[in-house]
Amino acid sequence: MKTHKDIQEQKAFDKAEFSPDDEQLYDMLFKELSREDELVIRPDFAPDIAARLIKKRRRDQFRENFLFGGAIVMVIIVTIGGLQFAQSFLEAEKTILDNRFALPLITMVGLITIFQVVDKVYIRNRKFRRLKLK
Amino acid sequence: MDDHSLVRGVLNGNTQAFSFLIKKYEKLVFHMINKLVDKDEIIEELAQDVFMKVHEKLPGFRFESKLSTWIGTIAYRHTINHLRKSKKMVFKEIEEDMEENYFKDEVTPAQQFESKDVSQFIKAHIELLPSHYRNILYLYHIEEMTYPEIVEITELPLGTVKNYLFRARKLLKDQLSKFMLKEELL
Repeated sequence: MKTHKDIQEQKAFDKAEFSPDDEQLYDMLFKELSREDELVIRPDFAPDIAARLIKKRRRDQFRENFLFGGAIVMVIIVTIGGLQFAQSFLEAEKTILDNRFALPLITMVGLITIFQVVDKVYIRNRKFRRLKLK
Repeated sequence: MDDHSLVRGVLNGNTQAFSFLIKKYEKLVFHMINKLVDKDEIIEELAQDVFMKVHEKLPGFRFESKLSTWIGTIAYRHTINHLRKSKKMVFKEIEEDMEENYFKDEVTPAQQFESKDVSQFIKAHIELLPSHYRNILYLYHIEEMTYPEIVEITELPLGTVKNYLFRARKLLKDQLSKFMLKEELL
């Protein structure tokens, strides 16, 4: 049925050049075209890709952990640096904690850090574990 | 295993489901790359990249098209991008006036007579067609894809897809006609 439809479409394309012999030739050609070529694919092609995926995921996870750790260290360093900088403007007898903005600021930084750690360890990692190849 | 179960399995992290998916579609991917790339040694490398991409993009697959069409699209685009990067992409258009002479330069009369049967003769001539023609012939006749599916994969306009398909078949039919005539004369 498909061959007949194909021949009709081809006839419309070829227009005047289409002869009765052509119909037979196209019929023969279409039968040949529907035969698949031999193609050799290694039997371990699929397992190789699975292994490659696991390696990639491990690499990605290591990189992510490394960057996350670096980001947390940076937050702590910047906070300490900021506090020291602020303290340098205060009188000698006063501490930074006496400043009315200091405590809320420290609390906020602390909460952000804790939230990021919780998100990383308990939320995102669990999601990754679900997606990770068994 | 149907495509929905396969995709669900892969998204749940089941390696076996992904292996099944690869097994199911590796022929399609290898054939598509093979039609566009001449060098055998890079076909497998490209196929591996394609399946890595399939795994990476699978969470975004919404079954708006068939899985085979979606994978075919990734395979086609990845191969075209590879060829563009390596500057081996030749969008060689066969002009109408060149078509008659197209096979003459490539196949010698001796080679034509060497072909033992029609199958071998046609296979040899398909190999000489431009990669786009070969690819569309493969998708239409072997994978039995519809025109809209081929359009989705190749991103070519419908008219161009049909034109490539009909022209490729006409070129092959003309060669086949000559071959049959020679066979009768022998």
